[in-house]
Amino acid sequence: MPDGTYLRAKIEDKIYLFDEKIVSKVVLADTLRIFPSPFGQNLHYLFIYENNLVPLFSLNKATIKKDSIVLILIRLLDTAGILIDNFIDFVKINDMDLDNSVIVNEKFSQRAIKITDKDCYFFDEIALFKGEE
Amino acid sequence: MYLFFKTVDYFFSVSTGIIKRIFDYQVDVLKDQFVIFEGSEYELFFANQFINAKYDKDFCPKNILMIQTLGGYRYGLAIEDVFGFFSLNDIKPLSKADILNRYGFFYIDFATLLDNRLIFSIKNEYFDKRYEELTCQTEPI
Repeated sequence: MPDGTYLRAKIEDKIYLFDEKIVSKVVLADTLRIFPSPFGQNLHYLFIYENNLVPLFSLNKATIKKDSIVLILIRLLDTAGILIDNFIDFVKINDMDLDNSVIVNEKFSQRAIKITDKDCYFFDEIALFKGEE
Repeated sequence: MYLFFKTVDYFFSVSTGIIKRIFDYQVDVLKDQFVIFEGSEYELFFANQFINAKYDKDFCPKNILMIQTLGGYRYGLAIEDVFGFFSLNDIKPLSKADILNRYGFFYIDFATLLDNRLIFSIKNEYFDKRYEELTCQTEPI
């Protein structure tokens, strides 16, 4: 994980940190055309984005609520969406913060740090894009 | 040309180049996966042909689509409803994000919207692979 700016987003009871370099857009789910997915264990939905069929992941739940928010991630021309409950803010993470991070075993996260006494999990986008469900 | 149809839960399409016919049938369920069709000759069709499609033991398909695969296998697919044909000239194909290949969509060639339904077009190669997986055969019969 590089130092830099991360988006803090809440997914159920956990806070995830998304590297701002991969965050393309944050949109309300009801503005997208979303369809159920026939394939993929953690892949419950698909949506259409810029004439592409794109996966929409849901880390902890399989239902879309009216106020669900979709974070659109772009990595090396590949695109994916992830359902979040809310986004909090952008935070700067420096090398010292990274040195204090601990190893965790969470879905799509291998490291976490504390920010104002709250556990924040670094989102492992490489695992997501490699298909490590 | 492509034929599009509905399986238990989803809409798919296949190239008409591999379709032999769609027809009536008499079936006996042998296992969860296989059904014997008794017609002019015995032929196999698969009830749960799509990778993660839900399979219900009581599922009784309305139609069977008989296909001849590129590899020479001849078998049927259980399908619910047939909706019709479309040409690539009449639709706007949706590109597939690369990541989808790693989540079970490798054999989906493209997708498109038809009458507000999302249709997945299956690559012809899928049918050879699936036949070999389900029957443990590697040579055309």
